[in-house]
Amino acid sequence: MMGNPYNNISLYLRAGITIFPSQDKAIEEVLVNLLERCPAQHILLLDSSGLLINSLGGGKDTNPVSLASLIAADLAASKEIANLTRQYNNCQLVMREGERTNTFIVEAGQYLILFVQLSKDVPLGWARLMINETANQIADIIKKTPETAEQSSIGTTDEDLSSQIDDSINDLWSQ
Amino acid sequence: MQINLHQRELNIKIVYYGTSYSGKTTNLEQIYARVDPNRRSDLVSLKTNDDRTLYFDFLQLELSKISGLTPKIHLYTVPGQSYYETSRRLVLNGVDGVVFVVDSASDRVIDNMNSWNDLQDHLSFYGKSLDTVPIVVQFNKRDLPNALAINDLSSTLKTDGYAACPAVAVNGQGVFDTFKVVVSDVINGIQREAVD
Ligand SMILES: Nc1nc2c(ncn2[C@@H]2O[C@H](COP(=O)(O)OP(=O)(O)O)[C@@H](O)[C@H]2O)c(=O)[nH]1
Ligand SMILES: [Mg+2]
Repeated sequence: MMGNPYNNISLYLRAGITIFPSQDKAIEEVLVNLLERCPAQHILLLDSSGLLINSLGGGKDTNPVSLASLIAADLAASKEIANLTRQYNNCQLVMREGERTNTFIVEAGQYLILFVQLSKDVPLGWARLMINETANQIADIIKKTPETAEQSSIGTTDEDLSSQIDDSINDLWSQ
Repeated sequence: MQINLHQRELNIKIVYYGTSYSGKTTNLEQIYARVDPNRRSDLVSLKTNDDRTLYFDFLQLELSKISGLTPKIHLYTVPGQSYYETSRRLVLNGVDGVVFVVDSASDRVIDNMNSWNDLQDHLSFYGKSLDTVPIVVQFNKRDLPNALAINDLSSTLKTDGYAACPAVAVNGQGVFDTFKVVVSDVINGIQREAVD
């Protein structure tokens, strides 16, 4: 696939994250497992800059994209507060008790954040255990970059990329 | 930046940076008002009681496919006041492109300069710099009677050499041009690095 601009994607996204198909599937499995076994009502996986990766469950009127940006900001602020008050913890966890549900926000490795909302009926100890386990599993999945064959398996057209970009952006505005 | 090769998404984070009152939130409001509702998320604004940005504003836009990937553009603003320094740094985490919004008013020169310096400090916190992150300088409030000439502003702030867009954000003027330049710079940047 010569000339494919996304061919060596994993090499240059040093600051960012590339999620490969096999990783996406493995993550989905781990999250479904958490959703069922915990059980949880809503699960979000996002990266530390607030970009949503996956959303399971949740009501129709909660927008997971907006929620993800707020969760990342919430955790970032909590970490900063912990730092300033010398409570730094390697794996920051934020828990909120609501009237009918509790929510957890926890880091899943260096780059990802897991948000879980569950009924108050779920014992906190059990929830914590399950959530931490899931966070570790996700961190492990992301750490392992799959084989190169999978990395280059993206279809692209031969069209000039710059004009594609132009069209795509113009399209947004003119509608 | 985040790429999901399974869902074929390219997630990009753009931050509107600049001194308080320069028009960052206005940029997002204008974009929100003008794009097809099916292509955008809600506009999330964390504000104080008197309507000033407390933490950030957020808006996500979905572009049509480029090279088989759907770009999702996440726009953030920062709170401009000097005491929100830490919040600004947090919002810059994972940034892929910056719009630096300049208030062209003649009495805001020092504030613009401080903000420009502050941006560089925070980028370096993340191991980034003005040379590695695409930047567009938006000279906003061109309609003000006391607006300084762009050339003068640019040489005072030392923003020469970066992409520049004049704007009257409150009327929507220049808002889209700015957006377009920063997003194409970011996406073209990916292509360049990939080809190298
Ligand atoms: N005259 C003028 N006012 C503007 C322009 N853009 C924004 N404003 C006004 O400047 C004020 C501050 O804008 P805002 O977007 O809240 O600034 P922020 O603090 O950078 O988010 C608001 O009253 C806007 O209506 C412009 O191009 N010209
Ligand atoms: Mg604002």
